[in-house]
Amino acid sequence: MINVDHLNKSYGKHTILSDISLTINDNQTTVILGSSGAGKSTLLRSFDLLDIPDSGTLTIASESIEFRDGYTNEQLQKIRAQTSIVFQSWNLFPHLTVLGNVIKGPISVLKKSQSEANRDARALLKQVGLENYENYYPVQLSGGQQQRVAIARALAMEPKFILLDEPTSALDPQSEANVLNVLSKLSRQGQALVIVTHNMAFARAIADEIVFLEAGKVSFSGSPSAFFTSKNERIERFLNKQTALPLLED
Amino acid sequence: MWKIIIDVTPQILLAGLQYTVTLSILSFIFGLIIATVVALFRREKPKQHNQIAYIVWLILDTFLRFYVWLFRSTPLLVQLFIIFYGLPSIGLQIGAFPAAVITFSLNVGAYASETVRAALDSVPQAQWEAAATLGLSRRQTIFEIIFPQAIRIALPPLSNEFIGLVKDTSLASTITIVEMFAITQQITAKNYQPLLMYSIVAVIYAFFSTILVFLQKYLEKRTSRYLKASSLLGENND
Repeated sequence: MINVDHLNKSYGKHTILSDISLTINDNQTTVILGSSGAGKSTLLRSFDLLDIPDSGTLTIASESIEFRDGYTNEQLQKIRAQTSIVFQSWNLFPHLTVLGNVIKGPISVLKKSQSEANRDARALLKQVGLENYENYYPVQLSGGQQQRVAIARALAMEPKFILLDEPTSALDPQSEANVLNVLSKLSRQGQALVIVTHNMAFARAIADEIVFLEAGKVSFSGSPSAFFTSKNERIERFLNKQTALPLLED
Repeated sequence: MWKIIIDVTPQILLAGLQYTVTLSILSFIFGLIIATVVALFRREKPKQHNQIAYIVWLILDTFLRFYVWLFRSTPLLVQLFIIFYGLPSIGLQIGAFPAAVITFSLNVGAYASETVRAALDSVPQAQWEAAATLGLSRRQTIFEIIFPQAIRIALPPLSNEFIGLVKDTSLASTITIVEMFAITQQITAKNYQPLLMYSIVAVIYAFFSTILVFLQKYLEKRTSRYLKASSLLGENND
């Protein structure tokens, strides 16, 4: 379980997250929605401590950090071991092959042997449909393929939660569909996912829980059916805006 | 003329191998170590709430900035004279060869620290974050993720440094080291053939530098293999 309590984060005078309290359960898919600048990515990144909140408490599994008190490197590593981020622009290590990317964490951090890490990595690459690409370098892959390697790399760390920061927003529709298929499969297998996305159809299809952020505050947290049928004026306005976007491009 | 060339070339080459090459290699290795330590240290700014660590870092950072500024703003020859001829007056007697190694290393370290810093900065922040999310330690991130990518960027300017250093070692002749240039001077004083003798030594310097150019090309190819890989295959799509 991820539990955040009164989380705050500012950059100078600009408040990004304001008094966020929230619980994200194990074995389910949580989708974080909100307009651009609502604080979605910052919230997601704070779960993995890539962005450090100014105050509040973050608890993942049994590890907890009260940010106002500071934290040790050991605490930070323990929290990070529970989560793994998949970035919008993949961020694969360009000097390593596909296999090299997936085994880097297991060997250097989980201290797996080379043969065990290779075996596990190959199984994960098969799971994301890239079993024939292990010797390729990232530069040789399309965006969608790189993103699936990034998902395999995150899975290789055996985290409780995989955090995905707009995983398909930089992809063409076909690559997006392939990545979404992989995520749907993971979700059905019970892998806990926390996803920031602008893809409403995907959010509706995959989410067990929706968190809606507005100006750094949680203004809704609940089931997808409750969210998508909500009569709340601001949620309706947000949903109308999202569905209107493709029409504008026509 | 050919007789002179055949007679003196081995002598000059021997001095080259004995002093020019060893002086260059040793100074470059130490210089690179200094540069890496300086560049890494200056990046590792502690958080301000850890006041003691921050103050210690600030003092050392100021000292390192001063060192880099000093060695980049003064002539190498002056640095060599201060260390070899100047320091004994305050009781620090250093032999000619160690004095040359120390001076050249510090000089290379100051210039190369800026190269290494720029190369480290050129690796996107996203790579540090990707390493962090996997749980890699700072050291693992630097040595396993950042350096392999930064080396590709640093290689051409560092090669320039090295080639420059090989030629600069001729200044060691001014502090009694009988390297290639000094021995050429000595032979010239006997045979009165300055044009021929200095041309021979110029060719030998060019020969050593050319080896380094080829080495640079080979290393560049090796370290950027992963970027060239795409040209071996057609475009991949999902």
